[in-house]
Amino acid sequence: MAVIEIEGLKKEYRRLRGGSTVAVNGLDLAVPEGGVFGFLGPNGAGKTTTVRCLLGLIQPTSGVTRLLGVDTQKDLKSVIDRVGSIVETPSLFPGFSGRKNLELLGALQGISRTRVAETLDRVGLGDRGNHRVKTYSLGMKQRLGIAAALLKDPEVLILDEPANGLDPAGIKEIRELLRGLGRDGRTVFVSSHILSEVRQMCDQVAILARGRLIVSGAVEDVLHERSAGGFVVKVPDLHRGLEVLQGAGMEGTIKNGAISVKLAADRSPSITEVLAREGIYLSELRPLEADLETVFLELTRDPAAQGASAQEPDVQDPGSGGRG
Amino acid sequence: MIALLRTELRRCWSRRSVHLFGALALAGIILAGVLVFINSAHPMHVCQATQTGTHCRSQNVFNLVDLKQVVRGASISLIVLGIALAASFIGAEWGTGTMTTLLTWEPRRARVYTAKFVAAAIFAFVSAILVLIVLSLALLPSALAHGSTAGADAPWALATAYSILRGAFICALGAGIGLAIGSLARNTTAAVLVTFFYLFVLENLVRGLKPHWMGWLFGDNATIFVIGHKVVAAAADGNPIVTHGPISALLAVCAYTVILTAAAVLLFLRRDVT
Repeated sequence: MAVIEIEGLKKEYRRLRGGSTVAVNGLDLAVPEGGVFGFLGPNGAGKTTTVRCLLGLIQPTSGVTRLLGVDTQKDLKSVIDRVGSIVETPSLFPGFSGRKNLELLGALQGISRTRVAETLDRVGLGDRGNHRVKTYSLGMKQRLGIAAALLKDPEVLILDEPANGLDPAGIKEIRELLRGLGRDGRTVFVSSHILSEVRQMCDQVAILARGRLIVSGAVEDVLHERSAGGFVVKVPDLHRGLEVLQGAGMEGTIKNGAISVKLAADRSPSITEVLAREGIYLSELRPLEADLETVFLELTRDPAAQGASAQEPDVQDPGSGGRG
Repeated sequence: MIALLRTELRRCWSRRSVHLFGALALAGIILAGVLVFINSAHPMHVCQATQTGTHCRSQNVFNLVDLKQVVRGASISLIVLGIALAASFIGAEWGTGTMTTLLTWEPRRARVYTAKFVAAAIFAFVSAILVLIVLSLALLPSALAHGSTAGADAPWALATAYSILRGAFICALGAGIGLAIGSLARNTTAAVLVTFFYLFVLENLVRGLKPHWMGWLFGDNATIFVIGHKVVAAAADGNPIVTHGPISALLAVCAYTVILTAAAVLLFLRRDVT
Protein backbone atom coordinates (compact mmCIF):
# COMPACT_ATOMS: atom_id res chain seq x y z
CA MET A 1 0.00 0.00 0.00
CA ALA A 2 1.28 3.47 -0.87
CA VAL A 3 1.34 5.75 2.15
CA ILE A 4 1.82 8.88 0.08
CA GLU A 5 0.18 9.05 -3.34
CA ILE A 6 0.40 11.94 -5.71
CA GLU A 7 -1.45 11.89 -9.02
CA GLY A 8 -1.10 14.51 -11.73
CA LEU A 9 -0.17 17.22 -9.22
CA LYS A 10 0.11 20.64 -10.79
CA LYS A 11 0.70 23.95 -9.06
CA GLU A 12 0.76 27.12 -11.05
CA TYR A 13 1.44 30.51 -9.48
CA ARG A 14 -0.02 33.47 -11.30
CA ARG A 15 2.16 36.53 -11.38
CA LEU A 16 0.73 39.97 -10.69
CA ARG A 17 2.12 41.36 -13.93
CA GLY A 18 0.61 38.54 -15.97
CA GLY A 19 1.91 35.13 -16.88
CA SER A 20 2.48 32.30 -14.48
CA THR A 21 5.11 30.04 -12.99
CA VAL A 22 4.55 26.31 -12.92
CA ALA A 23 6.16 24.96 -9.76
CA VAL A 24 4.94 21.38 -10.12
CA ASN A 25 3.77 20.02 -13.42
CA GLY A 26 1.86 16.76 -13.52
CA LEU A 27 3.75 14.97 -10.76
CA ASP A 28 2.91 11.33 -10.09
CA LEU A 29 4.51 9.65 -7.10
CA ALA A 30 3.80 6.71 -4.82
CA VAL A 31 5.71 6.24 -1.56
CA PRO A 32 5.42 2.71 -0.15
CA GLU A 33 4.82 1.96 3.49
CA GLY A 34 7.86 1.67 5.74
CA GLY A 35 11.45 2.73 5.18
CA VAL A 36 13.08 5.99 4.28
CA PHE A 37 12.14 7.61 0.97
CA GLY A 38 14.40 10.31 -0.47
CA PHE A 39 12.87 13.13 -2.48
CA LEU A 40 15.62 14.80 -4.48
CA GLY A 41 15.68 17.77 -6.76
CA PRO A 42 17.61 20.95 -7.43
CA ASN A 43 16.44 24.29 -6.05
CA GLY A 44 13.15 25.30 -7.62
CA ALA A 45 12.34 21.74 -8.72
CA GLY A 46 9.06 21.82 -6.78
CA LYS A 47 9.96 19.70 -3.73
CA THR A 48 8.69 22.12 -1.09
CA THR A 49 5.59 22.97 -3.14
CA THR A 50 4.82 19.25 -3.32
CA VAL A 51 5.28 18.88 0.44
CA ARG A 52 3.07 21.92 1.09
CA CYS A 53 0.36 20.51 -1.18
CA LEU A 54 0.55 17.19 0.67
CA LEU A 55 0.08 18.96 4.01
CA GLY A 56 -2.82 21.11 2.83
CA LEU A 57 -0.87 24.35 3.07
CA ILE A 58 -1.19 25.02 -0.65
CA GLN A 59 -4.18 24.40 -2.88
CA PRO A 60 -3.00 22.56 -6.01
CA THR A 61 -4.10 23.87 -9.39
CA SER A 62 -5.02 20.28 -10.29
CA GLY A 63 -4.26 16.74 -9.23
CA VAL A 64 -4.76 14.64 -6.15
CA THR A 65 -2.57 14.18 -3.05
CA ARG A 66 -3.28 11.36 -0.63
CA LEU A 67 -1.78 10.63 2.77
CA LEU A 68 -2.55 7.25 4.33
CA GLY A 69 -5.27 6.79 1.71
CA VAL A 70 -7.02 10.09 2.47
CA ASP A 71 -7.35 12.95 -0.01
CA THR A 72 -5.49 15.72 1.81
CA GLN A 73 -7.41 18.46 0.04
CA LYS A 74 -10.66 17.10 1.43
CA ASP A 75 -10.08 15.38 4.76
CA LEU A 76 -6.56 16.02 6.01
CA LYS A 77 -7.82 16.32 9.59
CA SER A 78 -8.64 12.63 9.79
CA VAL A 79 -4.97 11.66 9.27
CA ILE A 80 -2.98 14.67 10.46
CA ASP A 81 -2.54 13.14 13.94
CA ARG A 82 -0.59 10.29 12.30
CA VAL A 83 1.72 12.57 10.32
CA GLY A 84 4.71 14.52 11.64
CA SER A 85 6.35 17.12 9.45
CA ILE A 86 8.88 19.87 9.00
CA VAL A 87 8.33 22.25 6.10
CA GLU A 88 11.53 24.08 5.10
CA THR A 89 13.22 25.61 8.16
CA PRO A 90 11.46 24.55 11.36
CA SER A 91 9.35 27.50 12.48
CA LEU A 92 8.85 27.84 16.20
CA PHE A 93 8.47 30.84 18.49
CA PRO A 94 11.95 32.32 19.02
CA GLY A 95 11.02 34.00 22.30
CA PHE A 96 9.80 30.76 23.91
CA SER A 97 11.98 27.91 25.11
CA GLY A 98 12.21 24.74 23.04
CA ARG A 99 10.27 22.91 25.74
CA LYS A 100 7.49 25.52 25.81
CA ASN A 101 7.18 25.41 22.03
CA LEU A 102 6.74 21.64 22.11
CA GLU A 103 4.35 21.82 25.07
CA LEU A 104 2.16 24.33 23.22
CA LEU A 105 2.03 22.08 20.15
CA GLY A 106 1.59 18.94 22.24
CA ALA A 107 -1.32 20.51 24.12
CA LEU A 108 -3.28 20.49 20.85
CA GLN A 109 -3.38 16.70 21.03
CA GLY A 110 -3.15 16.16 24.75
CA ILE A 111 0.50 15.10 24.62
CA SER A 112 2.02 14.95 28.09
CA ARG A 113 5.00 16.92 29.37
CA THR A 114 6.78 13.62 29.97
CA ARG A 115 6.49 12.81 26.28
CA VAL A 116 7.85 16.29 25.45
CA ALA A 117 10.85 15.68 27.73
CA GLU A 118 11.46 12.25 26.16
CA THR A 119 11.33 13.70 22.66
CA LEU A 120 13.77 16.47 23.57
CA ASP A 121 16.15 13.83 24.96
CA ARG A 122 15.73 11.74 21.84
CA VAL A 123 17.01 14.54 19.60
CA GLY A 124 19.77 15.53 22.03
CA LEU A 125 18.18 18.72 23.34
CA GLY A 126 17.34 17.51 26.83
CA ASP A 127 19.78 19.89 28.51
CA ARG A 128 18.90 22.91 26.33
CA GLY A 129 15.14 22.47 26.39
CA ASN A 130 14.59 25.38 28.76
CA HIS A 131 16.63 27.85 26.72
CA ARG A 132 14.98 30.27 24.33
CA VAL A 133 14.84 29.08 20.73
CA LYS A 134 16.46 32.30 19.52
CA THR A 135 19.64 31.26 21.35
CA TYR A 136 19.77 27.95 19.44
CA SER A 137 22.15 27.30 16.58
CA LEU A 138 20.69 26.34 13.19
CA GLY A 139 21.44 22.70 13.93
CA MET A 140 19.65 22.89 17.29
CA LYS A 141 16.62 24.51 15.67
CA GLN A 142 16.66 21.67 13.16
CA ARG A 143 16.72 19.12 15.98
CA LEU A 144 13.85 20.93 17.67
CA GLY A 145 11.89 20.82 14.42
CA ILE A 146 12.51 17.08 14.21
CA ALA A 147 11.41 16.77 17.84
CA ALA A 148 8.18 18.62 16.97
CA ALA A 149 7.62 16.22 14.08
CA LEU A 150 8.29 13.19 16.31
CA LEU A 151 6.13 14.43 19.18
CA LYS A 152 2.96 12.80 17.82
CA ASP A 153 4.78 9.48 17.46
CA PRO A 154 3.67 9.55 13.81
CA GLU A 155 3.32 6.73 11.29
CA VAL A 156 4.49 9.03 8.53
CA LEU A 157 7.24 11.64 8.81
CA ILE A 158 7.57 14.29 6.12
CA LEU A 159 10.85 16.15 6.55
CA ASP A 160 12.16 18.93 4.37
CA GLU A 161 15.98 19.06 4.54
CA PRO A 162 16.26 17.57 8.06
CA ALA A 163 20.07 17.60 8.03
CA ASN A 164 20.28 21.28 7.13
CA GLY A 165 22.67 23.11 9.48
CA LEU A 166 23.69 20.03 11.44
CA ASP A 167 27.34 19.27 12.13
CA PRO A 168 28.73 15.89 10.97
CA ALA A 169 28.02 14.27 14.35
CA GLY A 170 24.48 15.67 14.28
CA ILE A 171 23.94 14.46 10.72
CA LYS A 172 25.03 10.98 11.75
CA GLU A 173 22.72 11.00 14.77
CA ILE A 174 19.72 12.19 12.77
CA ARG A 175 20.51 9.71 9.99
CA GLU A 176 20.55 6.87 12.47
CA LEU A 177 17.39 8.14 14.12
CA LEU A 178 15.53 8.32 10.80
CA ARG A 179 16.86 4.97 9.63
CA GLY A 180 15.74 3.47 12.93
CA LEU A 181 12.27 4.94 12.44
CA GLY A 182 12.20 3.50 8.92
CA ARG A 183 13.26 0.07 10.23
CA ASP A 184 10.47 0.25 12.84
CA GLY A 185 7.97 0.27 9.98
CA ARG A 186 7.32 4.00 9.84
CA THR A 187 7.45 5.83 6.55
CA VAL A 188 9.99 8.64 6.48
CA PHE A 189 9.75 10.95 3.48
CA VAL A 190 12.88 13.09 3.31
CA SER A 191 13.45 15.92 0.91
CA SER A 192 17.15 16.63 0.73
CA HIS A 193 19.90 17.99 -1.44
CA ILE A 194 22.68 16.19 0.47
CA LEU A 195 23.09 13.30 -1.94
CA SER A 196 25.53 11.32 0.16
CA GLU A 197 23.01 11.42 3.00
CA VAL A 198 20.22 10.19 0.78
CA ARG A 199 22.42 7.34 -0.43
CA GLN A 200 23.25 6.32 3.14
CA MET A 201 19.83 6.89 4.62
CA CYS A 202 17.20 6.08 2.01
CA ASP A 203 15.85 2.82 0.71
CA GLN A 204 13.99 4.44 -2.17
CA VAL A 205 14.47 7.66 -4.03
CA ALA A 206 12.56 9.94 -6.39
CA ILE A 207 14.30 12.62 -8.42
CA LEU A 208 12.36 15.70 -9.40
CA ALA A 209 13.32 18.36 -11.93
CA ARG A 210 11.39 21.32 -13.29
CA GLY A 211 8.27 20.14 -11.48
CA ARG A 212 8.29 16.67 -12.99
CA LEU A 213 9.32 13.27 -11.70
CA ILE A 214 12.40 12.09 -13.56
CA VAL A 215 13.03 8.74 -11.91
CA SER A 216 11.82 6.79 -8.90
CA GLY A 217 12.70 3.49 -7.31
CA ALA A 218 15.12 1.70 -4.99
CA VAL A 219 18.39 3.65 -4.71
CA GLU A 220 20.48 0.72 -5.97
CA ASP A 221 18.13 0.16 -8.92
CA VAL A 222 18.29 3.81 -9.91
CA LEU A 223 22.08 3.74 -9.78
CA HIS A 224 22.32 0.41 -11.57
CA GLU A 225 20.04 1.52 -14.40
CA ARG A 226 22.16 4.60 -14.93
CA SER A 227 25.47 2.81 -14.84
CA ALA A 228 27.14 2.78 -18.28
CA GLY A 229 29.04 -0.46 -17.54
CA GLY A 230 32.80 -0.54 -17.34
CA PHE A 231 35.78 -0.58 -15.01
CA VAL A 232 38.15 1.71 -13.15
CA VAL A 233 41.73 0.65 -13.82
CA LYS A 234 44.76 1.94 -11.93
CA VAL A 235 48.28 1.26 -13.20
CA PRO A 236 51.60 3.03 -12.50
CA ASP A 237 51.74 4.63 -15.97
CA LEU A 238 48.22 5.68 -16.91
CA HIS A 239 49.05 6.90 -20.43
CA ARG A 240 50.93 3.73 -21.35
CA GLY A 241 48.11 1.63 -19.86
CA LEU A 242 45.46 3.51 -21.86
CA GLU A 243 47.51 3.11 -25.02
CA VAL A 244 47.70 -0.66 -24.50
CA LEU A 245 43.99 -0.99 -23.75
CA GLN A 246 43.02 1.12 -26.76
CA GLY A 247 45.40 -0.95 -28.85
CA ALA A 248 43.36 -4.00 -27.80
CA GLY A 249 40.18 -2.34 -29.04
CA MET A 250 38.87 -1.13 -25.70
CA GLU A 251 37.36 2.31 -25.26
CA GLY A 252 38.75 4.33 -22.35
CA THR A 253 39.70 7.71 -20.92
CA ILE A 254 41.93 8.96 -18.12
CA LYS A 255 39.90 10.55 -15.37
CA ASN A 256 40.68 11.39 -11.76
CA GLY A 257 43.94 9.47 -11.59
CA ALA A 258 42.59 6.29 -13.17
CA ILE A 259 41.56 4.82 -16.50
CA SER A 260 37.83 4.45 -17.10
CA VAL A 261 37.24 1.60 -19.50
CA LYS A 262 33.86 0.91 -21.10
CA LEU A 263 33.51 -2.83 -21.17
CA ALA A 264 30.90 -5.49 -20.47
CA ALA A 265 30.91 -6.72 -16.87
CA ASP A 266 32.00 -10.29 -17.79
CA ARG A 267 35.07 -9.10 -19.70
CA SER A 268 37.24 -7.92 -16.80
CA PRO A 269 39.77 -10.77 -17.27
CA SER A 270 40.63 -9.40 -20.70
CA ILE A 271 41.85 -6.15 -19.07
CA THR A 272 44.31 -7.99 -16.81
CA GLU A 273 45.40 -10.22 -19.67
CA VAL A 274 46.09 -7.37 -22.13
CA LEU A 275 47.97 -5.29 -19.57
CA ALA A 276 49.98 -8.23 -18.16
CA ARG A 277 51.04 -9.21 -21.64
CA GLU A 278 52.70 -5.79 -21.96
CA GLY A 279 54.28 -6.03 -18.50
CA ILE A 280 51.88 -3.55 -16.88
CA TYR A 281 50.59 -4.65 -13.50
CA LEU A 282 47.35 -3.48 -11.95
CA SER A 283 47.18 -1.65 -8.67
CA GLU A 284 43.36 -1.48 -8.79
CA LEU A 285 40.53 -2.90 -10.87
CA ARG A 286 36.89 -2.40 -9.94
CA PRO A 287 33.54 -1.93 -11.64
CA LEU A 288 32.68 1.58 -12.70
CA GLU A 289 29.52 2.62 -10.85
CA ALA A 290 27.29 5.58 -11.32
CA ASP A 291 27.10 7.57 -8.08
CA LEU A 292 23.98 9.36 -6.97
CA GLU A 293 25.49 12.77 -7.52
CA THR A 294 26.30 12.03 -11.14
CA VAL A 295 22.91 10.48 -11.76
CA PHE A 296 21.24 13.44 -10.08
CA LEU A 297 23.19 16.00 -12.09
CA GLU A 298 22.62 14.12 -15.29
CA LEU A 299 18.89 13.73 -14.73
CA THR A 300 18.23 17.22 -13.52
CA ARG A 301 20.42 19.01 -16.05
CA ASP A 302 18.62 21.63 -18.11
CA PRO A 303 17.78 20.11 -21.53
CA ALA A 304 19.48 22.98 -23.36
CA ALA A 305 22.65 22.55 -21.30
CA GLN A 306 22.40 18.79 -21.75
CA GLY A 307 22.58 19.18 -25.52
CA ALA A 308 25.63 21.41 -25.25
CA SER A 309 27.52 18.96 -23.07
CA ALA A 310 26.41 15.75 -24.73
CA GLN A 311 30.01 14.72 -25.26
CA GLU A 312 30.77 14.54 -21.53
CA PRO A 313 30.91 11.08 -20.01
CA ASP A 314 27.80 10.33 -17.99
CA VAL A 315 29.38 8.11 -15.36
CA GLN A 316 32.08 8.79 -12.92
CA ASP A 317 34.46 7.08 -10.60
CA PRO A 318 32.69 7.14 -7.23
CA GLY A 319 35.95 7.32 -5.40
CA SER A 320 37.10 10.45 -7.15
CA GLY A 321 35.34 12.86 -4.78
CA GLY A 322 34.09 15.15 -7.52
CA ARG A 323 33.33 15.56 -11.16
CA GLY A 324 36.20 15.23 -13.55
CA MET B 1 -11.40 23.35 19.94
CA ILE B 2 -11.00 23.79 23.70
CA ALA B 3 -7.40 22.52 23.50
CA LEU B 4 -6.70 24.92 20.65
CA LEU B 5 -8.26 27.82 22.56
CA ARG B 6 -6.33 26.93 25.71
CA THR B 7 -3.10 26.82 23.71
CA GLU B 8 -3.81 30.20 22.13
CA LEU B 9 -4.57 31.72 25.53
CA ARG B 10 -1.33 30.30 26.94
CA ARG B 11 0.54 31.72 24.00
CA CYS B 12 -1.11 35.13 24.47
CA TRP B 13 -0.10 35.17 28.11
CA SER B 14 3.47 34.02 27.35
CA ARG B 15 4.22 36.73 24.81
CA ARG B 16 7.00 39.12 25.70
CA SER B 17 5.15 42.10 24.22
CA VAL B 18 2.26 41.35 26.59
CA HIS B 19 4.64 41.20 29.56
CA LEU B 20 6.29 44.44 28.42
CA PHE B 21 3.03 46.33 27.96
CA GLY B 22 1.71 44.88 31.22
CA ALA B 23 4.79 46.10 33.08
CA LEU B 24 4.57 49.52 31.41
CA ALA B 25 0.88 49.82 32.23
CA LEU B 26 1.52 48.89 35.87
CA ALA B 27 4.40 51.35 36.12
CA GLY B 28 2.26 54.09 34.52
CA ILE B 29 -0.64 53.40 36.88
CA ILE B 30 1.60 53.48 39.96
CA LEU B 31 3.21 56.71 38.77
CA ALA B 32 -0.21 58.25 38.09
CA GLY B 33 -1.44 57.17 41.53
CA VAL B 34 1.60 58.68 43.26
CA LEU B 35 1.41 61.95 41.28
CA VAL B 36 -2.32 62.38 41.93
CA PHE B 37 -1.74 61.62 45.62
CA ILE B 38 1.04 64.25 45.88
CA ASN B 39 -0.98 66.85 43.98
CA SER B 40 -4.06 66.17 46.10
CA ALA B 41 -2.03 66.81 49.25
CA HIS B 42 -1.25 70.36 48.06
CA PRO B 43 -4.44 71.64 46.44
CA MET B 44 -4.58 75.03 44.73
CA HIS B 45 -7.50 77.23 45.71
CA VAL B 46 -8.82 79.20 42.77
CA CYS B 47 -11.32 81.99 43.39
CA GLN B 48 -13.39 83.63 40.71
CA ALA B 49 -15.51 86.75 41.06
CA THR B 50 -18.96 86.48 39.49
CA GLN B 51 -22.15 88.55 39.57
CA THR B 52 -23.40 86.44 42.45
CA GLY B 53 -20.20 86.80 44.47
CA THR B 54 -16.81 85.18 44.70
CA HIS B 55 -16.67 81.46 44.24
CA CYS B 56 -13.64 79.47 45.35
CA ARG B 57 -12.79 75.85 44.51
CA SER B 58 -9.86 73.55 45.08
CA GLN B 59 -7.95 72.37 42.04
CA ASN B 60 -5.87 69.14 41.85
CA VAL B 61 -8.12 67.44 44.37
CA PHE B 62 -9.21 64.00 43.27
CA ASN B 63 -12.85 63.28 43.93
CA LEU B 64 -13.87 59.66 43.68
CA VAL B 65 -16.86 60.50 41.46
CA ASP B 66 -14.38 61.61 38.78
CA LEU B 67 -13.14 58.02 38.50
CA LYS B 68 -15.79 57.34 35.86
CA GLN B 69 -14.20 59.91 33.54
CA VAL B 70 -10.73 58.49 34.23
CA VAL B 71 -11.95 55.00 33.36
CA ARG B 72 -13.51 56.24 30.11
CA GLY B 73 -10.34 58.03 29.07
CA ALA B 74 -8.16 55.02 29.89
CA SER B 75 -10.52 52.66 28.03
CA ILE B 76 -10.10 54.61 24.82
CA SER B 77 -6.29 54.29 25.07
CA LEU B 78 -6.67 50.58 25.82
CA ILE B 79 -8.66 50.04 22.60
CA VAL B 80 -5.67 51.20 20.54
CA LEU B 81 -3.36 48.98 22.61
CA GLY B 82 -5.74 46.02 22.14
CA ILE B 83 -5.72 46.48 18.36
CA ALA B 84 -1.91 46.72 18.23
CA LEU B 85 -1.32 43.69 20.49
CA ALA B 86 -3.80 41.50 18.62
CA ALA B 87 -2.28 42.51 15.29
CA SER B 88 1.15 41.56 16.61
CA PHE B 89 -0.27 38.32 18.07
CA ILE B 90 -1.08 36.96 14.60
CA GLY B 91 1.45 39.02 12.66
CA ALA B 92 4.28 37.40 14.65
CA GLU B 93 2.95 33.97 13.65
CA TRP B 94 3.17 34.87 9.99
CA GLY B 95 6.53 36.57 10.49
CA THR B 96 8.18 33.63 12.23
CA GLY B 97 6.44 31.02 10.08
CA THR B 98 4.84 29.32 13.08
CA MET B 99 1.48 29.50 11.31
CA THR B 100 2.83 26.81 8.96
CA THR B 101 3.80 24.65 11.93
CA LEU B 102 0.41 25.18 13.58
CA LEU B 103 -1.49 24.26 10.40
CA THR B 104 0.42 20.99 10.17
CA TRP B 105 -1.09 20.15 13.57
CA GLU B 106 -4.57 21.60 13.05
CA PRO B 107 -5.38 21.93 9.35
CA ARG B 108 -8.95 23.21 9.89
CA ARG B 109 -8.26 26.86 9.28
CA ALA B 110 -11.68 28.13 10.34
CA ARG B 111 -11.10 26.56 13.76
CA VAL B 112 -7.63 28.01 13.99
CA TYR B 113 -8.90 31.51 13.23
CA THR B 114 -11.86 31.17 15.58
CA ALA B 115 -9.58 30.04 18.42
CA LYS B 116 -7.26 32.97 17.81
CA PHE B 117 -10.16 35.43 17.66
CA VAL B 118 -11.74 34.15 20.87
CA ALA B 119 -8.37 33.99 22.66
CA ALA B 120 -7.46 37.55 21.63
CA ALA B 121 -10.91 38.85 22.62
CA ILE B 122 -10.93 37.08 26.01
CA PHE B 123 -7.39 38.19 26.70
CA ALA B 124 -8.14 41.83 25.79
CA PHE B 125 -11.38 41.82 27.81
CA VAL B 126 -9.81 40.39 30.97
CA SER B 127 -6.65 42.50 30.66
CA ALA B 128 -8.66 45.70 30.19
CA ILE B 129 -10.77 44.95 33.27
CA LEU B 130 -7.64 44.24 35.32
CA VAL B 131 -5.90 47.42 34.15
CA LEU B 132 -8.97 49.57 34.86
CA ILE B 133 -9.48 48.01 38.31
CA VAL B 134 -5.81 48.49 39.21
CA LEU B 135 -6.04 52.09 37.96
CA SER B 136 -9.12 52.68 40.15
CA LEU B 137 -7.37 51.18 43.16
CA ALA B 138 -4.29 53.31 42.53
CA LEU B 139 -6.40 56.50 42.60
CA LEU B 140 -8.46 55.49 45.62
CA PRO B 141 -5.91 56.59 48.30
CA SER B 142 -5.89 60.14 46.85
CA ALA B 143 -9.66 60.41 47.15
CA LEU B 144 -9.71 58.87 50.62
CA ALA B 145 -6.78 60.86 52.06
CA HIS B 146 -7.05 64.28 50.44
CA GLY B 147 -10.04 64.37 48.12
CA SER B 148 -13.64 63.56 48.50
CA THR B 149 -15.85 60.51 48.24
CA ALA B 150 -19.00 62.59 48.11
CA GLY B 151 -21.44 61.26 45.53
CA ALA B 152 -19.71 57.88 45.38
CA ASP B 153 -22.86 55.98 46.16
CA ALA B 154 -24.21 52.67 44.91
CA PRO B 155 -25.60 54.05 41.60
CA TRP B 156 -22.23 55.68 40.96
CA ALA B 157 -20.40 52.40 41.69
CA LEU B 158 -22.72 50.58 39.30
CA ALA B 159 -22.25 53.23 36.59
CA THR B 160 -18.46 53.02 37.01
CA ALA B 161 -18.56 49.22 36.83
CA TYR B 162 -20.60 49.50 33.62
CA SER B 163 -18.03 51.92 32.24
CA ILE B 164 -15.26 49.40 32.97
CA LEU B 165 -17.25 46.61 31.32
CA ARG B 166 -18.07 48.75 28.28
CA GLY B 167 -14.41 49.73 27.95
CA ALA B 168 -13.30 46.11 28.23
CA PHE B 169 -15.92 44.98 25.71
CA ILE B 170 -14.80 47.55 23.16
CA CYS B 171 -11.21 46.47 23.82
CA ALA B 172 -12.20 42.89 22.98
CA LEU B 173 -13.81 44.03 19.72
CA GLY B 174 -10.69 46.11 19.02
CA ALA B 175 -8.59 42.98 19.50
CA GLY B 176 -10.78 41.24 16.92
CA ILE B 177 -10.18 44.08 14.50
CA GLY B 178 -6.43 44.02 15.19
CA LEU B 179 -6.37 40.27 14.60
CA ALA B 180 -8.18 40.69 11.28
CA ILE B 181 -5.80 43.43 10.10
CA GLY B 182 -2.78 41.39 11.22
CA SER B 183 -4.12 38.34 9.40
CA LEU B 184 -4.83 40.27 6.20
CA ALA B 185 -1.39 41.93 6.26
CA ARG B 186 0.41 38.78 7.49
CA ASN B 187 2.88 41.13 9.13
CA THR B 188 2.88 42.96 12.48
CA THR B 189 4.56 46.16 11.35
CA ALA B 190 2.30 46.60 8.33
CA ALA B 191 -0.79 45.90 10.44
CA VAL B 192 0.19 48.36 13.17
CA LEU B 193 1.10 51.04 10.63
CA VAL B 194 -2.22 50.61 8.80
CA THR B 195 -4.12 50.80 12.10
CA PHE B 196 -2.34 53.92 13.28
CA PHE B 197 -2.67 55.59 9.87
CA TYR B 198 -6.39 54.89 9.84
CA LEU B 199 -7.06 55.95 13.44
CA PHE B 200 -4.81 58.97 13.70
CA VAL B 201 -4.59 60.27 10.15
CA LEU B 202 -7.53 59.13 8.06
CA GLU B 203 -10.21 59.51 10.73
CA ASN B 204 -8.91 62.97 11.66
CA LEU B 205 -8.94 63.99 8.02
CA VAL B 206 -12.54 62.81 7.72
CA ARG B 207 -13.49 64.66 10.91
CA GLY B 208 -11.97 67.82 9.48
CA LEU B 209 -13.21 67.54 5.91
CA LYS B 210 -16.49 65.71 6.31
CA PRO B 211 -17.68 66.28 9.89
CA HIS B 212 -21.10 64.80 9.16
CA TRP B 213 -19.44 61.42 8.55
CA MET B 214 -18.20 61.35 12.14
CA GLY B 215 -21.04 59.09 13.14
CA TRP B 216 -19.62 56.32 10.96
CA LEU B 217 -16.02 56.41 12.14
CA PHE B 218 -14.66 53.59 14.28
CA GLY B 219 -12.93 55.85 16.81
CA ASP B 220 -15.98 58.05 17.41
CA ASN B 221 -18.34 55.11 17.79
CA ALA B 222 -15.97 53.33 20.16
CA THR B 223 -15.73 56.50 22.27
CA ILE B 224 -19.50 57.01 22.31
CA PHE B 225 -20.08 53.45 23.48
CA VAL B 226 -17.48 53.81 26.23
CA ILE B 227 -18.82 57.15 27.51
CA GLY B 228 -22.37 55.85 27.21
CA HIS B 229 -24.16 58.82 25.67
CA LYS B 230 -24.51 60.84 22.46
CA VAL B 231 -22.03 63.58 21.67
CA VAL B 232 -23.00 66.92 20.24
CA ALA B 233 -20.24 68.61 18.30
CA ALA B 234 -20.22 71.90 16.42
CA ALA B 235 -19.52 71.71 12.71
CA ALA B 236 -17.64 74.42 10.82
CA ASP B 237 -20.93 75.78 9.44
CA GLY B 238 -22.18 76.24 12.99
CA ASN B 239 -24.77 73.45 12.80
CA PRO B 240 -24.60 70.93 15.61
CA ILE B 241 -23.58 67.35 14.79
CA VAL B 242 -25.34 64.84 16.95
CA THR B 243 -23.69 61.44 16.90
CA HIS B 244 -25.29 58.02 17.35
CA GLY B 245 -26.43 56.80 20.71
CA PRO B 246 -24.37 54.12 22.54
CA ILE B 247 -26.33 51.17 21.13
CA SER B 248 -26.00 52.37 17.53
CA ALA B 249 -22.32 53.10 18.22
CA LEU B 250 -21.84 49.56 19.47
CA LEU B 251 -23.53 48.18 16.36
CA ALA B 252 -21.25 50.31 14.18
CA VAL B 253 -18.12 48.97 15.99
CA CYS B 254 -19.52 45.43 15.68
CA ALA B 255 -20.04 46.01 11.95
CA TYR B 256 -16.39 47.07 11.57
CA THR B 257 -15.33 43.93 13.46
CA VAL B 258 -17.59 41.59 11.48
CA ILE B 259 -16.64 42.98 8.07
CA LEU B 260 -12.89 42.89 8.75
CA THR B 261 -13.10 39.46 10.37
CA ALA B 262 -15.10 38.04 7.46
CA ALA B 263 -12.51 39.36 5.00
CA ALA B 264 -9.66 37.95 7.09
CA VAL B 265 -11.31 34.53 7.45
CA LEU B 266 -12.13 34.27 3.75
CA LEU B 267 -8.57 35.08 2.81
CA PHE B 268 -7.16 32.78 5.50
CA LEU B 269 -9.26 29.88 4.19
CA ARG B 270 -8.31 30.39 0.56
CA ARG B 271 -4.81 31.79 0.47
CA ASP B 272 -1.79 29.51 0.17
CA VAL B 273 0.52 29.31 3.16
CA THR B 274 3.92 29.75 1.59
